[in-house]
Amino acid sequence: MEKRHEIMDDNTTSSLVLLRVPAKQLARLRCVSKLWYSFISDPQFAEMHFHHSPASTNAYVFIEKVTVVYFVDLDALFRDNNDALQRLCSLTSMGKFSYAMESTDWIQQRNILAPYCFSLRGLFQGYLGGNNCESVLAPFQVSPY
Amino acid sequence: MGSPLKKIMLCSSEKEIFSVEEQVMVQHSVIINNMIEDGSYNYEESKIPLDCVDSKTLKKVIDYCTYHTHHHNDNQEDLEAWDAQFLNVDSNGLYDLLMAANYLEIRNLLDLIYRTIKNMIKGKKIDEIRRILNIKDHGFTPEEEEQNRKEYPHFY
Repeated sequence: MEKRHEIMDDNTTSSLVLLRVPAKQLARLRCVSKLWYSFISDPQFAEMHFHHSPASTNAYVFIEKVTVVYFVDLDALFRDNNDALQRLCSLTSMGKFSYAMESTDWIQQRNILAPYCFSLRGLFQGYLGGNNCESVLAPFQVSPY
Repeated sequence: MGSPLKKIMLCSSEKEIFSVEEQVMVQHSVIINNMIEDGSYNYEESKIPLDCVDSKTLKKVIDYCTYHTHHHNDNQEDLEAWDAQFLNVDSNGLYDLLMAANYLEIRNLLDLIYRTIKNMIKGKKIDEIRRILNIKDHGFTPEEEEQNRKEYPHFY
């Protein structure tokens, strides 16, 4: 065979594959390549993924000491899955989360948590801003995330 | 829509000619459907040149379209089993099929390929995913890569 492209060289291919990946895997996939990192971190992608993704998950986000965020997938937890508890991100970049959403209403209305850190904004603002507490267990239904 | 037994000609990058039931391609390929509908395909003379699709890949694409045209009433399980067998190819083969399906706009085949790639990387470690997808240049600086590995050791 002559020249061979890398299968994921292509922007369209990457985004179309990533759109089909369940949200809980996306955090991991950010580390695969810079291209994927930028895709997954893009709010537009988050929005598309929300509309595209069929599955829904029961999940909690657990914020520990305002510095570390965990994502707990209850369904996976009961299946004894190692992926059930994932450390999402260290909130070293707190500044980023401070302006996105005004209240927790957004969560109730939409009933979702869009992909991980970039769209956790709503939650952060609502809970951290409102309670200003050290650790929060914020229940919500993740659908489809 | 043409009559079921009408044939059209597809020409691979190696200039090999494939004669296919028109109905089969019209049903699956948006591009070919458009060509037939707007009359730009001439049954006497035309062959549709597919310069970016080699014979081996084109044959597979035609197999896919033919099977799905004639078996669309089969139960879902059987179809899925056939699809899985059909896509039991290496990553180069998968890439060729992807490009061909993309070029011809065969939506259900594209969807099948994307789902297959998704399943190939499901639950895999980063290093494995890079190997499976043949990603040689991940684009992170050595510092970023080290930082990621330190922060998420369980991903690697």
